[in-house]
Amino acid sequence: MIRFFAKLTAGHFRKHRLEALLCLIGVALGVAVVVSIDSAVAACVRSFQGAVGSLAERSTHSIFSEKGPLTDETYLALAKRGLNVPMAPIIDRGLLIGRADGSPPFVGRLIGVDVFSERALRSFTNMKSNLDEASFRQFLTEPGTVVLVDELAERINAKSGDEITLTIGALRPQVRVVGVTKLSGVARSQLGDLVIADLATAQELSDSVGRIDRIDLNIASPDDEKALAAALPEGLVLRSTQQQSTSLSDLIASYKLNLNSLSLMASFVAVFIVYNSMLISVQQRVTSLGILRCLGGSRTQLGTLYLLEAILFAIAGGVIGVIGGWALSKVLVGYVSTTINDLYASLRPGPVTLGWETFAKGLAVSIASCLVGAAVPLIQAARTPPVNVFRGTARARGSAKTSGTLFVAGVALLGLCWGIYILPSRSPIVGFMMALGVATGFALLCPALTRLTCALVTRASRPLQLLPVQMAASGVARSLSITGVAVAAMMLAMAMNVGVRTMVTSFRGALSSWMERRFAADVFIGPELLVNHKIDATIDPRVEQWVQAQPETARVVEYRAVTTDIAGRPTLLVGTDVATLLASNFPIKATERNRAFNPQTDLLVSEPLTGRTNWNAGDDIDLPTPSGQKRFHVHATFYDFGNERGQLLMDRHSYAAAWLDNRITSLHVRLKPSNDPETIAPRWAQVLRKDYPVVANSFAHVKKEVLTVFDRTFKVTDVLTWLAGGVAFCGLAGALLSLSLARRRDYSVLAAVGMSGRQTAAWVFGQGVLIAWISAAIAAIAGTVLAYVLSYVIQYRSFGWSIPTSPQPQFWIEALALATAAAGVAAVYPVYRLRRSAPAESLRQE
Amino acid sequence: MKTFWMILALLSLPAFAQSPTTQPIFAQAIAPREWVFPRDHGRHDGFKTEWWYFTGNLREKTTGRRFGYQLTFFRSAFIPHATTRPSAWGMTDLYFAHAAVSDVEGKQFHYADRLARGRTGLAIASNEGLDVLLKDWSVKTEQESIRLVASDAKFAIDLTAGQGRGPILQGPGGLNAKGTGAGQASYYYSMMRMPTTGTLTIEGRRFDLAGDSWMDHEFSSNALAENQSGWDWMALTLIDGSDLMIYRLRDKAGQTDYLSGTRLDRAGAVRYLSAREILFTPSKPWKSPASGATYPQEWRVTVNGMTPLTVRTRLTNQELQTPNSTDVTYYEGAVEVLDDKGAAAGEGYLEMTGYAKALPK
Repeated sequence: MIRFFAKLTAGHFRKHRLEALLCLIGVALGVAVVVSIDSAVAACVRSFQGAVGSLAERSTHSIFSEKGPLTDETYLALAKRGLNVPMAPIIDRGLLIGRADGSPPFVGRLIGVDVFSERALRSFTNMKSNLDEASFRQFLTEPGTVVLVDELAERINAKSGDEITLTIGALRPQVRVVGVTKLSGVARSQLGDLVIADLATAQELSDSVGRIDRIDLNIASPDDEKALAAALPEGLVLRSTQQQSTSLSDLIASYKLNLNSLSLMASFVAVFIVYNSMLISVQQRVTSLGILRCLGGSRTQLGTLYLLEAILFAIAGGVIGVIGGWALSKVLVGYVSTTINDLYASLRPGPVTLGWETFAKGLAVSIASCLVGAAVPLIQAARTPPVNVFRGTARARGSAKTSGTLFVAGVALLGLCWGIYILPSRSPIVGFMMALGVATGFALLCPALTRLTCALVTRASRPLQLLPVQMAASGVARSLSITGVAVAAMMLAMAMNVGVRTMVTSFRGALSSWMERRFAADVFIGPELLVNHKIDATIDPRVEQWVQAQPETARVVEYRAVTTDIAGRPTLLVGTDVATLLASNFPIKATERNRAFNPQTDLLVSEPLTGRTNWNAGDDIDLPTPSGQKRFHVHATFYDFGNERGQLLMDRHSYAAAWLDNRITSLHVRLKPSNDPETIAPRWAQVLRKDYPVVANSFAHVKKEVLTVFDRTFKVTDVLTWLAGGVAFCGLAGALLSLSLARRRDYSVLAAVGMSGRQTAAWVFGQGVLIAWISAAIAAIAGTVLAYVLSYVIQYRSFGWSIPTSPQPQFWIEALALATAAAGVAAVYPVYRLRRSAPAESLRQE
Repeated sequence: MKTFWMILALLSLPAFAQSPTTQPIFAQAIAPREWVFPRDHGRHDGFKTEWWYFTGNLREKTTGRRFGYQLTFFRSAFIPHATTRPSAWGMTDLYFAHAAVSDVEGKQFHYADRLARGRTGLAIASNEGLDVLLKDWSVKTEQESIRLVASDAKFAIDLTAGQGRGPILQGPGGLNAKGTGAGQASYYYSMMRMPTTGTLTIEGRRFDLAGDSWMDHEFSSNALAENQSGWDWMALTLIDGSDLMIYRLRDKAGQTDYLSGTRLDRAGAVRYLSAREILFTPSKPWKSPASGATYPQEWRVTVNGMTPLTVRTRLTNQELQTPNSTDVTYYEGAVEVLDDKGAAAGEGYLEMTGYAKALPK
């Protein structure tokens, strides 16, 4: 039986190669999207973990300060507590290395170490074995001396004895290279940008005398870990290297979730294609199935045989998809890493590897899509009655009856989603399930809406004598099991496209107007490192004095931003002139009535932080500060599209007093009227940059830069939505091809009675266009609803961003045009095949 | 002599194998000096190396159970002058320390080692008096006594040593020769028979003890000669009321290259001993299972004008391996002294270095 069935299947697919191929491509594309996103994100996370791991080497944990900078005294107090745990103080900063040939500076990393504390932690900081004695002594005792790792030395063409200029924070010191140290293995690929300095030198170079960034430790046992954690003074936290290396995963959680949602949506579209394809395949083989039943094949056997076919299909599609996804991920990793570099952390992603896990995941997605997609056709195949052998033209007309049931199910599902929406859940998974539910709900509406539309079109075209239109509409309506699913698949892909683009466009518009309200300034002056390389840095106070003295300056607002752990997560803490900001059109979300902002005690909480902590206007909150626990009053909450991790805004002087930090991250300058920021900013930059590593930009310039980063961030979603469109196109083409084949006998009759080639083309194309237009129309609504779900349920509930979303009709029109074009392309081959087939042959069969 | 020579050698600090043009110029011990105490108990800037070395034999007050201890602090300078850098981490000196306890009856020997760069609050020796710190280990003058504190996972030392004999200069004007070459010397004094009380805690068990301590303080800028590979040193407190310090440097063939010592008699008269006056004979070799090095367990010491003495280790295994600081393996342990009739004649400490491997230059 199996051999017979295998022959039957092989024969069937030989006859229907193109349909099989389209279905395979559809499945493979769906898998490829999932695999590519997964691999690209994994490569970036792996790179970050590799960098953390290489730098940590044998250190198992680190101590960080939750309240302001970690001081020398904190380290000394710990070192003297007799904890019997190797520990080493570390300075870890971003820097720029100027190049002699004037080419753009190289971005590197400054590591300041006490080599004598490092022994139990790291081997690459063992300068004694890497340097000769004179160099080792210079490294330890002479200010402004550094050691480069060999890869960096090669890149910037520097050798021992050379002087190089670094930009670190607000300083631009010249240092002397006293040695080059060789790295090997993973460290070589991940730490190729290290400038290593003695701890004293690093403190001096980075304007951090008396401060360290963290303390690395090698803790041998969980008992030691517990003992140490218990012995830590208040304000210090112990984090394992493992936690640090997974911190990127936490940081990019929202970004990853968005990408994963999109990729799963693509595979969801693929499910419909498999369903459609398998259903057609079952219907095309209805005679064969009937014969099999007549020959004694049981329902179980038929079901099993179809199941095997589905699995084989899944494996083939899965393998192609995984390989395709792997190839695609090489492109996507560029987009993903650029975004992570733009928004989160410095990365140097290594090659994307195709591991067995990726392979297994791809196959699992493929098998799951195929099994879910094949379930209904499989049952149908198993239930094929032997009598079907005598009903060669049996069609799935019966399935039209089920469209009503599906419609009811769809409405019920959408109702259920509304119910979920009312639930106060913050889980992104619930949000994602809701998005999936909305997509499925609309998909279930498709057959009934298709039937209804076709009926309306038929009725409308009858008085106008538009026979091809009438035929197309009735053709689509009569093969609802094929066309309904094609409409659903196409609709889903387009809805996804419309939904994501609606959300992104709305977000972009909101970001743009938010920036104008949030930063009431004409010129921004910030450290070169921060602005160009997203590295924490400050500016020299003399820059502010200079700016204040300029005749064009109307007002200067100081801005100090530090990332610190608040409520257990890295949060942006900003000290600025809040009162001045509030006086302008600041994007306040909620505020206390009848209470003026008190700079001594009040602060503003960003919307994502409110989402995370539930701190609302009017609340009193206690925050750990370097000067002890302090109580603050939440004056207002504000919209924040700049930082999804949360932000606290407080008065500059209150911040300085509590956090013992008087430094300035950037200056926001308002110019006197009649001064053009576009002229002033470059002029100031030219003067200031002679002495300080700062950049001065006009607001328009900064806004443009931010929007460029924004566009870059969503580039990958563009790629994904178009890929999902590709999946849907395969579905549409497959459906049209199947329809044309199913209608071959009808065509033969029509051809015999004189239907011309052009009329045939119009008929097939008309069916395609009808499917496409119905899909586009439903997709416009479904996509807009999805945009709301993505914005409100996933983004706001899970991450606290309330992104105002508005319908974007331009995408509806675009979807319609694209669907029409896709229908045109998809119709070409079926038309060609129909016109080539001999009517007499088909009629003889009839 | 003491372990600091080998430690410095292993650290390969700039005093070794430096080209003359880049070598920092440190002060040299070439002539007798004026000593001013308590100032000279403190740090001596300008000299490349310095150490404060405490050893002692103690007994449990209630049972008479015997213990020995060692607590040593070393300072090694990278540059001969203090730094004025903005960062307090600005490096001039490196400090390291070794601590050990010998439980004779319990046949236990525990030790620990550590190192840290010199900086206020972390590892520093005062230049005004005896006050040396390395993280939570310290030796410090408190009123008329010296407080010694060190601890590790398995043991802790908390002792107070009172006023004993000395300071006794270990050479004319404190200049102590290390060889026959010009400038091969250090400044060196000792304090001995310092009445010591306090506690040793070993594996959680606390012992209340009393006994005597011996303190050496030495500083110089010179090191081993090319042909020297190790040394043997002992400091003995004898029942007859005299004290004896003897050391010999061995050449690469294991033979005596330089031999010297100091005898302080009961009345306090100091006699500096030359090689001709000392006969120093090792016996009863013991092979350390940990390092494979073979150390003599017994020494026959004959000094002109004194009864021949037998110096015997109280515990066989008193070998230290120091992976956390200098990675040097040596023997430092409590000894008993017997006269030629086999009767107890005193006690002290014995150090033997260069047996595990030849010390690098």
